[in-house]
Amino acid sequence: MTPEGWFCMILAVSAVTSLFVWCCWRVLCPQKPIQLPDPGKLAMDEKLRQRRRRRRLQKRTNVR
Amino acid sequence: MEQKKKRENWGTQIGVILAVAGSAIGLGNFLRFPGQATLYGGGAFMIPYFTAFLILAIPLSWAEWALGRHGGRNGFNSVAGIFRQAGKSRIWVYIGGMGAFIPMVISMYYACIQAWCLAYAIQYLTGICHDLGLGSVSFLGNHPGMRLGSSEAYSGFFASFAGLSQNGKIFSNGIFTPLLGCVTFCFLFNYYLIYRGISKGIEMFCKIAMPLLFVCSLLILVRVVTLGNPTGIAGQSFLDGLGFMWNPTRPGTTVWQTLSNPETWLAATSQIFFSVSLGFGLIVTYASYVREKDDIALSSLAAVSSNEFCEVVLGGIMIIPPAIMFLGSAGLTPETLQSSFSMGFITLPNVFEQMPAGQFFGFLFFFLLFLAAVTSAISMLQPSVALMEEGLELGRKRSIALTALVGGIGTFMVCYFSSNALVLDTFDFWGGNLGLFVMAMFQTILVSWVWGDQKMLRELDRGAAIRVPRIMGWVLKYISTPYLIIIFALWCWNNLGGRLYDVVTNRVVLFAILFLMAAVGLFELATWYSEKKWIRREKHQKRLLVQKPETREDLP
Repeated sequence: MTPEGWFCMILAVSAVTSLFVWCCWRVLCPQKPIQLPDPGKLAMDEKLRQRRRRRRLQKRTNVR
Repeated sequence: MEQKKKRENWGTQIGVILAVAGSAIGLGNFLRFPGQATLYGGGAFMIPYFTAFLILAIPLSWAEWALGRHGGRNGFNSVAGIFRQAGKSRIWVYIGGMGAFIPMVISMYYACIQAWCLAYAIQYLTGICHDLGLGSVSFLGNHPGMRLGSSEAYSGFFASFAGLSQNGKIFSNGIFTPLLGCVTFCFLFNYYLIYRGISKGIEMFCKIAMPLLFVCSLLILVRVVTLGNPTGIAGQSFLDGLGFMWNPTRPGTTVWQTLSNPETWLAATSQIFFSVSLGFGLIVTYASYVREKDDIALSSLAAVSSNEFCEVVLGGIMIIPPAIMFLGSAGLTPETLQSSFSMGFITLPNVFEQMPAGQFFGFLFFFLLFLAAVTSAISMLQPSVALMEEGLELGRKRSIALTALVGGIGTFMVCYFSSNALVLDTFDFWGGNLGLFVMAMFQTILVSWVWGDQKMLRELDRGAAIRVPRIMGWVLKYISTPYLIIIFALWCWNNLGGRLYDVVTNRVVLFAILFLMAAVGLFELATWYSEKKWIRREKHQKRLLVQKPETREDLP
């Protein structure tokens, strides 16, 4: 076995084993489910952002 | 869409992961991968292999799970129904019909391979099958285990045992021979597990078989790693065996030459593709039984990683090194490395004969192959049973009976026309190779371009335990799909010409193709009838909604 062969084997085996062990750990020790952004809330946030932008523009126009 | 009967679901997340992993883990992990890796550059082979894993296996696996669960949420468990739900055109229903037919074709010859593994395992354990195919049958245990003495003897034994020398050979000692007994047992056992259903049949068996498979492989791995240099011959130690497979440079070739050879990329991608069970329609069907709020993102990754662990770690260490240790490099010719059957049923028995406690480890090895074959075989039957149940509304018993009838005819053909395993090879090429590539391509196009990658990501996010990177949608659309198409074109260029010639010149091959075409016709007829029923049912439900406006939730 050459040093390159050791490198290839260790890299491949450790990458695959790490992924496998990580998946086993996540499945066997379930954590809090990921919180996905509520689409309704996202739309509301976008509306509020646009409203604030319009107000800022209006204020600048009034000052001028 | 409401279902009148109670829908089946997987019992637990681990159950569905083990079932999908079981369908993926098979003989290819232990017999095909080591040979392919050794032939196409060893350690250097892992570069195209992992590239294909990242841009093909993971995105396509996620796509199949998402597509399947989406169809299941809308009341469909058959691939035809699931494709109909996602596709905008009627053509997708008929493409989905192929998703039931292709695994059915594979299951026809898989029962025979399963039987070979079982018969070899029994032979190692009890020695009762020793004279199989050699003119007499011995149940007396006079020849315990498998001890034939040489590679040539094992080659002759396998050829005689599997009837490779002559059509109808395995029936020549009457119908009650051990091999036919094993084929019958495997066939009935597969259908029995399917009959018991998703959670009580498939899930229950996989929860037992998969851990057992891992235990058997780990025992063999420990045995192999601790052998050292059993023959004392220089160049035949365990490390020399590892080097034979994993060293990236070969005499006369550089790593760059290996990587710039398109054959290497084709071999690596094909290995990943067939190993992860992409395009079979199995994952789509299995995922349709996952509940709406359960995770599929992590489950998909876990199933794929289990398959890779068995392939790279177990297959990569426990197959080639013992062959080198006991037979030397002369025992691993390119023909042996290219053929999974030669490796598994000729070379390795020769290795086990010389290995200390080899009879026990031989039994463990063929028993684990048998378990891997069963978990794969039952997954291949579920898509067609689902189509019969859901589309034709036949009920479980009748669906299984009809599937068993078609499958039984195919299995009989494989067993009878066993000369050079011609029918097996024909079914494998046209169904298990070409059919898979075509299905996988259509499936990928459906998910990424028709149904939409964003819908796929939203489906993966439902109940997800991990967050799938958003870039996966882009990868699936612009990298995986073209890559798959290019690989398929290369594969056709390499393989199709000779096969078309065989169809025209060989009567047995032509007969097998005609049978496949008749079976396709039957499945597409079932799909057409199913579609009519689904359309009629949807129209009826719309009429009910119109008649009762006060109960409609979607009124403004």
